[in-house]
Amino acid sequence: MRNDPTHSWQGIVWTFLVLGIPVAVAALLLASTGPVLARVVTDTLIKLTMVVGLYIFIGNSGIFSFGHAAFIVVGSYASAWMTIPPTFKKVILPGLPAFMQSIHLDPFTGGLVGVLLAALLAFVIGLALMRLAGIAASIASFAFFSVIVVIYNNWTGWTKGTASLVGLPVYAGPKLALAAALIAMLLALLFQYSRYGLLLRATREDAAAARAAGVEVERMRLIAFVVSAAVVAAGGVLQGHFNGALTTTANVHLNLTFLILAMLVVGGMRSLAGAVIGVAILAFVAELLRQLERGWQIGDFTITAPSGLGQVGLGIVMLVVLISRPQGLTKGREIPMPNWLSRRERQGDAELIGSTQNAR
Amino acid sequence: MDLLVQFIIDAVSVGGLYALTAIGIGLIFGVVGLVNFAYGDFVMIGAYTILLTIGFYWPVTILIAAIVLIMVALAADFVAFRPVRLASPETLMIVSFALSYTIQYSYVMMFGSLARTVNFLPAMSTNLEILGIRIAGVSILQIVATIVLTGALAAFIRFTRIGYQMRAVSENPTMARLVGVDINKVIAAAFIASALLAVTVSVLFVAQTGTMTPFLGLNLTIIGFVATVIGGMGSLVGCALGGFLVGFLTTLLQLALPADLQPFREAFVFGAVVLMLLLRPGGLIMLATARERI
Amino acid sequence: MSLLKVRELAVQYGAVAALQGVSLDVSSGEVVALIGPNGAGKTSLLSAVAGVVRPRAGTIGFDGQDLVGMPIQKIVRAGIALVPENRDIFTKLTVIENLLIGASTRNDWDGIAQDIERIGELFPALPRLFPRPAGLLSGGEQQMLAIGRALMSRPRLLMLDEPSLGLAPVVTDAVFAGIRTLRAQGMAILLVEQNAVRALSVCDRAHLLSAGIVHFTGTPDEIAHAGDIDAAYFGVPSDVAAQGSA
Repeated sequence: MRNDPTHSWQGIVWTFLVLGIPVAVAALLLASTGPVLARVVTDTLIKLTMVVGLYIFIGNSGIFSFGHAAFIVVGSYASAWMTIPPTFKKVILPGLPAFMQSIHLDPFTGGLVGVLLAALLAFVIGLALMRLAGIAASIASFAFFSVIVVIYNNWTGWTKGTASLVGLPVYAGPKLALAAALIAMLLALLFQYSRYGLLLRATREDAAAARAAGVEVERMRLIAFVVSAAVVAAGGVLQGHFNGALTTTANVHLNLTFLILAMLVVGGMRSLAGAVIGVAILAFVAELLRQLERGWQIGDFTITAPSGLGQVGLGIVMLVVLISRPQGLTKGREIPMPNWLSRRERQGDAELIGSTQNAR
Repeated sequence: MDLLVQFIIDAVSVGGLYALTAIGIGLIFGVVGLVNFAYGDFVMIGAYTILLTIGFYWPVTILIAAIVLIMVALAADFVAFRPVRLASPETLMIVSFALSYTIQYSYVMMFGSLARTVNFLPAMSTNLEILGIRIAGVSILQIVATIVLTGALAAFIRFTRIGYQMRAVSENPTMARLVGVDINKVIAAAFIASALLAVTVSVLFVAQTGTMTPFLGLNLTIIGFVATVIGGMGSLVGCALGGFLVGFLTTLLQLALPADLQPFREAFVFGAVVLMLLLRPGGLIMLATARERI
Repeated sequence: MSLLKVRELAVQYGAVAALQGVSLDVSSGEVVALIGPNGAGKTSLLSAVAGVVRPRAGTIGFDGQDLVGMPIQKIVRAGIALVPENRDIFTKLTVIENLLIGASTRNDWDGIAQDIERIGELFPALPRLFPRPAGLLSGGEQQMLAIGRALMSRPRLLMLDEPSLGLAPVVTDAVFAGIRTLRAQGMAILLVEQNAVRALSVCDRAHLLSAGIVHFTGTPDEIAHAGDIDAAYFGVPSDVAAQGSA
């Protein structure tokens, strides 16, 4: 905790810059090389947004959630309903009620509706879920995800059921995804630095002691859950408007859940640096494996790996990291500030103690 | 009257299958503190082993499946869980999640993701008439298997040396080591027992549905979790009760829900878990290990 | 020749040094007491010998073997049993199961049955409780059960951590009577006690431990005469001082 730079506002700025600048530079450089890499970059930045969103809840509360893909589903479908042009909507979603048929919002407002709906759902479901602790909360989040998937799977009039929903306006590119990822990172840092984040981290270390000190554990968790759901849903909305299509298939969302959880855990789920590094590494590994599945040339031969190899490879990477380094590659630490900055950090610490006392 | 009896038999046979699944998950949670996401995948491996060995006389098929599953469970413990034995329950859970994913896609690599069908124990799909009520053979098999297996497991835990060692490890692993209990042996025994439960579920599942995909474990895992959570995690009696309750609920909803709501049946069942947790966070039977200090 | 030989043992928890260069010996048929206030490092020493905690430095010799780094189960097999401070009996197991589990390293069922009988003679209150869940026992009964469970592995060295803690005086008497019997049978006993008067009444030698260092070693008589040390670390009566410095 002593070396955690996120305890001062200078440290927040430092952490944001030291993580954000490399992400931005790498993304813009790679995206400028051509459309193929631009797609990979956009996809990775959208994943980064989701992982950072997941980190806001898991990193601060210490509770694993297997349910966040539900917010991706809810957010992206709502955005689709809002933004698919009415003429088109009539054809692909004839079951939609009349007032929904006529709605046509611009991408930003439509996306916002999706995010807000997901946040509202998180609030309602969180009222129940956040009363649970540890493993029980994780299992319940999994059950919650299953409920949402079953509903969307069978709610054919609104979602086309197991068939994919197409026709979403495709507007998400590398720059927008980069902006989303950076905003998500800033939001995560601000939350971490805020009174709520600090108190929630205290409950993570020792919920009983925190409760005894008067911290309302459930309320802190709920706030983190709602913020986290909103950020993850924003990632989901972008993904919908990047692919132009949505699906309710459980396996697709479970794969996504696995991927973003793996990214967070491999990097280290207790620091933003861990979230960012985990995304970078696993995105690279996943892309590599995807190339293998597509096949590669040796002389005149094309060797194609069987499908499923990508997932198996990711699974093994995650297992190896978990077993050899359960705290993740960063061991839950942020990137330390250099000395000439941390002189001022001490002042910041003093201010912080003052401010939490005032808050009481 | 007939309808009621029919309903009870359906509920008990479905519930029995769920109870076996829940006990398999609950047993490992009780002894190792592990929420095993890969449990359903053990069942899946059992099903594919039956598919591969279908040419043999059926007891041989079952025996091979049992041996394969015991080896898989022991290997999973040795490779994945033993290295993180002292880590937090959350870490253990996420390891099992990764393991589950790896197993599923290894089977996709080997067998593809399309459904495979197999006609195993065809005699079981014929109906029997007892006192004027038609009962599927599989239902009877399910009920008998549930009774025999839970009875045997209960006796094993109650009366054998490994049994009380399991209970001791479940209560206080450090002290169990201090009195000389070989913890790895006890945990291996728990994994073997859960593998035997899994192979039973594989047999019943394949005999009943005759079809499988590499993802068939997922639904069972969720149902098992739901049942364990309802019953109170770590209490085997609670797990069994939870399994029967979920089976009863599923069967009831099948009867009671109007046709257009039928597809949402699972949603109702899983929703019941969230509700259950809200009302009784410790499950039907309270257990300290599932809760935080205080 | 002494059975247990601890030399220059150091135990560290993060930045906190719990033990710094402690040496002691225990021979068969001998009770050695460790006396000192809370946090003196007494429990750390027992944990290191039992293999629960790995020492930072020093050696632990037992009957010619080096115990450092040995797995717990092997240490139990070698002949060391620990009765921990909060007793840690298995509350969901019956009393007889608690005794049986103490014999987890053995397979000589006749011997195990004999030992159960012997423990019944040592603590006559226990046999009628055999079928009960151990969680229903009183504090004194639990302490006797915890000692009995430890004896089931047929140890040559028995380590007792605060056996009198929270017990009524008359129950403590029964526990200490058991300790005397065991010593007479040739058992080596390492006893940790905050209640110095009790400990000195039963031990052959005592080590006064404070802040991880042994400050004085001697027979009960020598300690009784070394008034200044007594006063500095324990005061007289010892209980008051022990609590004051905690």
